[in-house]
Parts: sequence; structure tokens; C-alpha cells
Amino acid sequence: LIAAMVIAITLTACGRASSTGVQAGIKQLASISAEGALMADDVARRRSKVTFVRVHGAELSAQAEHEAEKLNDDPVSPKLEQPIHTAIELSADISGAIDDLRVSPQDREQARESEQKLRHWADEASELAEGL
Amino acid sequence: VKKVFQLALGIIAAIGGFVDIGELVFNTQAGADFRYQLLWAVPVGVIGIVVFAEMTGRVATVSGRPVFDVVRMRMGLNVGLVTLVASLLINLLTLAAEVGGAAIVLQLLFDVNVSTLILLSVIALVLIVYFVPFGGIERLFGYLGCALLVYVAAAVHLKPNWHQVGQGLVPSWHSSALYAYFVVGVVGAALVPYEVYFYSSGAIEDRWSVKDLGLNRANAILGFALGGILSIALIVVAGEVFFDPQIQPGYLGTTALGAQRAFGEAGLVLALLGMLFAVGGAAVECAFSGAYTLAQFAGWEWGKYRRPREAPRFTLAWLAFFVLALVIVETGVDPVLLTEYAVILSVVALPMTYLPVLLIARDRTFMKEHANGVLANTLGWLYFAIILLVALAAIPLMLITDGGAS
Repeated sequence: LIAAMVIAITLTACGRASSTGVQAGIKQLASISAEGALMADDVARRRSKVTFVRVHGAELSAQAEHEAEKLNDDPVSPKLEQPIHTAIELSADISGAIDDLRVSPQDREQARESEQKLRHWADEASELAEGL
Repeated sequence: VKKVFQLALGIIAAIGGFVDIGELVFNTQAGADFRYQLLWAVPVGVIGIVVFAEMTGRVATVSGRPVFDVVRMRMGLNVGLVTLVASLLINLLTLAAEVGGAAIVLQLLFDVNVSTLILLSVIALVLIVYFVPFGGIERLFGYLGCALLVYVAAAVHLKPNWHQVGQGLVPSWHSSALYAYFVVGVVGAALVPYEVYFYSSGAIEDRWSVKDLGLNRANAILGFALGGILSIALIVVAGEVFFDPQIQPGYLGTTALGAQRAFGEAGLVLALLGMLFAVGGAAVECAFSGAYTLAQFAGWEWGKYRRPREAPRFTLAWLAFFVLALVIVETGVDPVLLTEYAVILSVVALPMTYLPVLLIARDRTFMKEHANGVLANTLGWLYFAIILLVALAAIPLMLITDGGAS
């Protein structure tokens, strides 16, 4: 059991270098953006709690940055370089919009804008992932 | 009237006590990735836990021997020792995950440093376990965990397609490894061994006698079945909120967001409170289970009904479990990831836990007229076959799917 656990943790912790791995990373960005959009929608409609927006927003924002780092660091074939570059830019946008939401969770107008942007970026990331 | 009241209390406690961090994580991910298509795996897991919990409760009530006593007696010292080590390790991982989960929920509620909240959670749990009697602990976490019923209300409120929900309850198969991984995860989360260690030892803590066998059956069937409804509600809510936007839940906050989408801030707060007491209760169950198994294997005095000085090694054991869990979570390991590993690894250990239970519960020389009937034997062997299958598939599926990530 211990051996199985060590093998499992080691293998699942390995970096991804294939196009499937890159696709999974970009899909993860789409997921973060879509979740950020749902949260922003609730903030815009005063249906959330400040502490929740700040803490969960920080988790999502940090994850977007982490995905960007993984995409940046994993060695890939040249044909994947452009989509990865686009995905990294998207991750910075997504992370920034979620951070704006965290900084001022009472600002409904900004939340509505963030919601629209995040929804758009979620679609963009999904299309990018599907195109690989 | 007293019996009915006792039954109602047991059921309510079981509803709140059934859902732990494993259920919260796997059911939400299952709903987000496959909408309702994995609903059928919940009753499969729930019937399994009902079958084995009823058996362990019956064996404990009739013989006065809890599960781990039976494991050692029936399987011998060597197999018993392997089972002990595996169960202690899984208990510890699960406890660490539950403690980390409680801290995350508190952080979502109060936005305080998570490291401080981990320490405060452990201190609070230790104080509750030390000072509150066994029945009080069951009720405290069980009743307050019922705030999770907000997910049942949310599942109805979100107006799912009930025809599709019904179709989801009919077993189906996909050629996807991810689907198989979540089947194993959802079934495994319902069958985690610490639940039966706790349940059977709890029967002795509650001083059940042969007269309480009906209560045991009713508690196991109704309590776990109603707990299963919570799991179904979690999948339906995740299917409604996260499936279309293709959200891949990786945080407890995402699970809470599902309730917020249905009922706004009130839904969010109820969901977080329910989660807090559900994972808190599960943490207590894990710590006790670890101490029960160790004490029962070593032949120490054990039981919460005894004063700490009457069962000092048992008391020291559950305290040590909390301290070790604190150390693990304070390293910064992700509790959700820890949960996934704990559930999948506990699936691997399931046969070692449930086979001796089945063998002893059907043994007429030991159980006499309270031995398994035809139905209990049939279901027991059927579930043992299912358990073997999921145990064999668990690790390969975790590797193939990158821990459910792809």
C-alpha cells in the first residue's frame, strides 16, 4: 500500500509535455475562468460573502498562475509554442480579473464587467484547447 | 416512544455524519464531469455500506467484539497486522484531509490565515472529544452537519431534468477511464473503512444489546440511505451548476459555490456550516477509528465511555492521531488532493476489512441465530466481489487519469 502510494504520488506529480497535457492545462484555465465568472455574477447580484470571494478567489487566481507556469516550463514541440503563448497571456488576464474581484468584492459594477470578461476568456480558452 | 426518538436521533446523526470530505470532493467532481451519469454509483456504494455496517453492528452487539477484534481473531495475527498498518495509514491520511478541510471551510467563512485555523481546528476537536460524551459528539456533529441538506433543497430549486436524473440512477457504462475512476471514487467514498470501525465500536460505546438489533438495522438502512440522498444532491447540484461551463472542481470552495448559485449568501453559509460539521465529525470518527483499531488489536482498554485515566493508551492514541494529522496538514499539502489519495488507497484496503466481517457474520457457531440470513449472505458476497473489482482497478485508474485530472 505504501509502495502504491509513493508510485501514485510520484507519477501523478510528473510534468506534462504532450499536446494532451497542454490541452488539459488550457482546459483548466477555461474552468478557472468560468468559475470566476459564476462568482463574479453572484458578487454583482450581491449574493455572496466577502470572505468567500477573497479566499476562493485567491485559490482560483493562484491556480491560474500555476497553470501558466506549468505551460511555460514544460518542454513541448514547436507547433505548440503559439497556443501556449496565447494561453499564458489568457491566464494573466483571468488571474488579474479574479484579483480585481477579490480586492473590491463590494463593487457590483466592476464585478459585472469581470463576469463578462471571464466568461469570454473561458470560451476563448475552451476553443484554444479544442483546436489542439 | 423512547425507541422511536432514539431511532430518529440515530438517523439524523447518520445523515449529518455520512458525508465527509471524500463525498464532498468526489461527488462534486463526478457531477461536474459527467452530470447525472454517475448517480447510480451512489446507491451502489450506499447499499454496500448499509450491508457491512449492519453486519458489523450486529457482530459487535451479539459478540461484544468490534470489527478489528474480529479481523484479528478470524484472519490471524499476520494478516491482522497488515490490515492494522494499512488502516492506520489510511485513517491518518483521511484525518489529515478532514482537519485540512475544516480549516479551509473556516477560512472561507472568516478569511484568517489557514495555518492558524488548522491549529485552532485541532485544538477545538481535541477539546470536544475530551470533554463531550460519546452520544453528545455524535449528535453535535450529526445534527449540525444536517445543514448540508441545503444541497437537497438546491438540487430541487435548480430544476434539473428529472427524467435525466432518473436515467442517471440506472447503471450505465462508458469506455472512458475517467468515468471508471469516478465510479471507483464515488463507490469508495461511501465504503471507507473508518466508517465501519467507528460504527461497530460505537455500538459497544452505546452499549447496544441483542434487543437493539432492530435499532442497528434501522440506523444502518435509514441513516446511510438518507446520507446517500445528500450525495445524490451534491452530484445533481454540481451537474446543474458546473457541467455546462465545463468547470473542473478542485476546491471545497467550488462545492460551496453550488449552494450559493441556488440560494445566494444564505445557501453559501449553510453549505459551509454543514461542511464544517460534516468534516469535523468525520475527523473525530477517523481519530477514534485509529485509536479503536490500535487498542483493539493490542488488547488495551478502550472506549470513550471510560474515563481517560481508565483507558490511558486509548486516549493517548487518539491524541497522537490528531497531532500527527496536524503535522501533515501544516506541511501545506492540499487537503483535497490528500482526500483523493486517501479514498483511492482505502479502496485498495477494503477487502481486508470486509472479508473477515462477512465470514464472522455468517458463522452460525459464533453468531448463532443472529448469523446472516440468505439476503445478507447474498448481498455480502456480491459486494465483496464488487469491492475486489474496485480494489484492483483503483490504483491503475488513478495513474491513467492523472488522479482524475484528465
